[in-house]
Amino acid sequence: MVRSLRFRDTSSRRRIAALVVASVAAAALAACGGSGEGDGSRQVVTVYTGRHYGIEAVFEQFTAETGIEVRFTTGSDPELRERLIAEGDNTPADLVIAADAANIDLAAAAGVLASVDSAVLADAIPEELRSADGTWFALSRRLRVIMYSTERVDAPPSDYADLGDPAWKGRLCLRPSTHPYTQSLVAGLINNLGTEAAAGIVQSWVANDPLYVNSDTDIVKAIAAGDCDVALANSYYLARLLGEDPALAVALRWPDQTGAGAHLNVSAAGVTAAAPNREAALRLLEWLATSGQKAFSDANNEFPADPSIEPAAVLVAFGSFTADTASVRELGRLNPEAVALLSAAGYE
Amino acid sequence: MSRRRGSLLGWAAILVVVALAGAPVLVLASSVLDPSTGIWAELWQTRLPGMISETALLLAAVVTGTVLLGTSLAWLVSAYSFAGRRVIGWALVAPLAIPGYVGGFAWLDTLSGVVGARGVRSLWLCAAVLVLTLYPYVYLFARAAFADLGASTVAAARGLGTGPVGVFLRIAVPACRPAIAAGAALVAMEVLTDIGTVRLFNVSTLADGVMRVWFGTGEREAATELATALTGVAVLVIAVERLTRGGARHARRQAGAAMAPQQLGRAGAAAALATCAAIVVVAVVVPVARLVAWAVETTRSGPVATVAGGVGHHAGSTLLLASTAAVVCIGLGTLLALAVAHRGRSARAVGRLATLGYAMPGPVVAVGVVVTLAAVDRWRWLPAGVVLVGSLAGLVFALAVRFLAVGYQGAEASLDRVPPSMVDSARVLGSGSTRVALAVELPAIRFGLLAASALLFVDMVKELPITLLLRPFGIDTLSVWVWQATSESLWAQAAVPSLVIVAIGMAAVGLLLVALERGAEVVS
Amino acid sequence: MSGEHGEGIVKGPALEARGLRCSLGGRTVLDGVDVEVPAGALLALVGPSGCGKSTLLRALAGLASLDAGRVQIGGRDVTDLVAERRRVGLVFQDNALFGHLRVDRNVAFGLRHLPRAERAALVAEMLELVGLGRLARRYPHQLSGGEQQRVALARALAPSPEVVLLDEPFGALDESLREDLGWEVKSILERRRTAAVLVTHDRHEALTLGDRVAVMEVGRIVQHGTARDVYRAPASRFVAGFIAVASYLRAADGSEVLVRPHQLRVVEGGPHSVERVEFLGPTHRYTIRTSAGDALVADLGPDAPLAVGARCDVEVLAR
Repeated sequence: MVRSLRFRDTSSRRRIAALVVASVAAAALAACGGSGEGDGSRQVVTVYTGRHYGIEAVFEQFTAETGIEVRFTTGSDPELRERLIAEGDNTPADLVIAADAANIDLAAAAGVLASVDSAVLADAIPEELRSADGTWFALSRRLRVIMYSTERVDAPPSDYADLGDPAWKGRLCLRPSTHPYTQSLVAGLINNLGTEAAAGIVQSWVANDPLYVNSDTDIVKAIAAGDCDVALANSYYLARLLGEDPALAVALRWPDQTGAGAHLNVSAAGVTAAAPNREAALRLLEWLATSGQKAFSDANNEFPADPSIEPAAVLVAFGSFTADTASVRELGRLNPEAVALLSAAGYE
Repeated sequence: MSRRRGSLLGWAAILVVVALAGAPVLVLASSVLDPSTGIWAELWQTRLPGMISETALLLAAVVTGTVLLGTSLAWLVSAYSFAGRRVIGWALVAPLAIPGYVGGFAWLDTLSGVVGARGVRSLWLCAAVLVLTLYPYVYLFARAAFADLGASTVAAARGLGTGPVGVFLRIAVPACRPAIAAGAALVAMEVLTDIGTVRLFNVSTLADGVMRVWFGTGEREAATELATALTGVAVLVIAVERLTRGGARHARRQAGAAMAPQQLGRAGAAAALATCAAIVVVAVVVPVARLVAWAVETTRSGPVATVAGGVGHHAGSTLLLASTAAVVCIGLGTLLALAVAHRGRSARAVGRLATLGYAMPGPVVAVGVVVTLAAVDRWRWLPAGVVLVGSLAGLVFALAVRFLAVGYQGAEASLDRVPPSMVDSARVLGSGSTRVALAVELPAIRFGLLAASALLFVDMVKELPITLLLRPFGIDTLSVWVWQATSESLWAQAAVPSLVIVAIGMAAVGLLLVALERGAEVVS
Repeated sequence: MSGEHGEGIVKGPALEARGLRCSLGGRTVLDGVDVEVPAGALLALVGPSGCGKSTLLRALAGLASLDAGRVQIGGRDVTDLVAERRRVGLVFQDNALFGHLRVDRNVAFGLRHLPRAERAALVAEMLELVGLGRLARRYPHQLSGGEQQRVALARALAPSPEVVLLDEPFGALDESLREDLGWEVKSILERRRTAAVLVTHDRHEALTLGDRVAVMEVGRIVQHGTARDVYRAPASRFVAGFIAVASYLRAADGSEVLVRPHQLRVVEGGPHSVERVEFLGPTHRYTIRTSAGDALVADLGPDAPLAVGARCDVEVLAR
């Protein structure tokens, strides 16, 4: 498309030319100045991280304790994974942190993560929360739970399947299927109940004409505002919002406590197969799994992967619960099936 | 026989630029040669029909809306004179400075309070928000075309008993149809490749589908096939625009004096000003006010540590990246346009290949560039230690792949307006093609290039997906900051960087308008 | 003055082209054209629009590529040279001045090879020549159409080309200005002893300004000679009719004789009828329909003009 534009008017022209020259010069100067990075004398570890909320302070703490500098770039899990796959042996990344078990597992399946044999990690992270081949290790846990309005709901649903009860028709809020949290939850259902039963549950949700909201924060806010009465969201969003407004009329319920337990997903990390600084990467990973784990988890109000570490105070207040720990390692494998199932059910 | 000495050199320039810009797109599109039928059958049974119909509806609604709004506002400001016309004429372009994803969440939040969380998530409200952010494209082109409308044509129509509305509908709009179509084609491109806004409003378009398939299932082949199909739709849109334009390559300035704006009476002037002001309020003031309220809220509650470096660091990164990338795009685009000029249709067709990146969603281009650059990095003929992926050069290259079209078409359209006799005169006076380009063609199109640069700069400041995936360590732009906050649904914390983006964008839009008023022949 | 021309020494034609052929998009535009311009002479190239005269000019300048034929400028074969090396001057109807350059910089554009002082002196001299010395520091858009055209001429003449090619240079100007500027350009060219080709579709301009006139018809030059020859002895009915108003009288043996309007006088009463009367100022021009159905144009008539439809006869005056 040729797009021709022109206004009629002619007068002085010098100033424009000067402006152009000045901006070009500025750009050129800036380009030259911007290319320098890393002075080489300090040890550096490079991280691709899909978890970015409050991560900077955690890395600063690591640097303060070890003297190893952390360079990191943030992004969405799948895009960082694509970048890692494309870069192959040339990747500058030493460590990858993903906000979702399926995504780190897909990276491992693509062969870009190295197998790590570390007694420190084996000791700190429960077996179900790390891959069998040592390619990734969970650092923190989060739970996808039922949330409800304390004003309009007297008997909140107790299982994921209950959300399909016609009583909730037009009163349900869900996250769209584009989001890994939804995909991962359905992968968990498939793992525990089989494809057919999982499909039945998802179809019953869809039949309730849910309002799809592309943000867990907004889901909690939608309950508070009366746009829906029950919903699925991650527990820490409620923790964060209750921190801002303790009077918020929203509460959570741990689902499936008599069954497999509440759906558990993790933030996890792995050393890359082509890590230029493998040693430093392992050191950071071990630190994140041990002395850094609390800071890493607390930054986002998540439960530490190591059950012996005390979670943040707001989480303790939610009470104890059973989590579906057994499904975590299967989430990656079942993710494509979950996406297909959501698609077939007409889940938006 | 006259031989053009620079001929080989020119073709070499064309091929190099096209190969550079086209490679990542072709790398992805080549997946079509080996179709993955399984996922297609499944898509066809599930989401694809819905995606196609939503894309078509959204496209139709937004294009219609922007054409109606942009054209009538342009006419109001071009055909009538009233107090405040100059300022309001400027302000009507301001929505260009507001990124779709920012306007999107500001509007989503504002509208939620009015129609509820359920009511706000509709295709029609999404279309309305897109119309409000995209109409300036049509407005700018229509205004430029109306400025070229001859006074005699308008006078003749009036003499034949046509009223003001008749002149607009029966004379001005048909005469300026090519310009309006060009603006509408731009709008269509933006709608087809948008991801941020449609996701907020739960509208499931083809571009969104590409993301779903790719990042949801890791099916790169299927995703790129879908992306290629999407590019096909975009190419179709361009073809339709060409047809609409008919024989005219572009609207030529009509002979004689330009149409003089008609002075409005007091009531008329007030009504005109109120109409324009209402649009500015809805399109700019409302979202900006929402952002300001959020910004005040976050400063009061104290900053949360999502990002380091603060406004200064992020604004610095943004300015550095946007100016570098804009200069590269305008430079390569101009080089390509100069090389293509005077070389006939086949050269133009080849040149157009370099603009395919503009018809693809940003994240798709980003991954295409990563794949391409990573392949180059693996050849190991670069100096030791130089890795393109994650370098500033790599990022600028990726941005050039996506936005070269803006620079190229800006330069090409400007060059089309340089009289051939001027170039011939310079040649006969002893100048080879290089000197003709430097001493005659470039100066003649300088305002067009300035206008295209300003538009490119605004595009770069707003750009998110490519910068996010390919930025080097230490380059953290304002748009990345906005993403980091909004991906955690921390809308309030996205307010400050969003406002800075809007402010920088406004400054660039101002520069664009100055260029246009000083006689910029063309904008991208 | 430039010393590059051996002043007053005639050394063969300034421009000579033989057998030029050119086709554009499958259509033959030049079909074996020969042109010759003696040193210092002005050749007026005239023909209806679309006959190929502008293409011929572009081919001579090296701007259009030829399928066949040779071009010599100043005795030098330039056929294989690109436009920028042919050393010709070119003036367009739209003047094609460089809008971003001042008048003096426009004129200096083709003089890059000269040292600065020499260049400045030459620019001043050229601007004096066209009478615009005082406007040297203006920009083109600040000049009138006639002034712009003079700058274009100064710019074309500055590098002292062997030949200047003028493509409808007065076409965009008012009629009153056209004639004056035409004569001025001719006298400037004569003072510089520069040969020129003037392309025009205005036969009056061609006849008055051209030392020689070439008439083109669909890709060919159908007549080439002095203005007087072309007017008096046109090579074809096409040339006769194109160059001036022509009528034909049928002789007894069936042949036809060309007569110009001033050679015919209309008298009242007779076998023919008046079809149209135009007031020309000094005279009236009559279009007469003869009893045989032919049309004749006559400029002479009775003192009291005849009305349309009046019966009349026609007398032929001696040449």
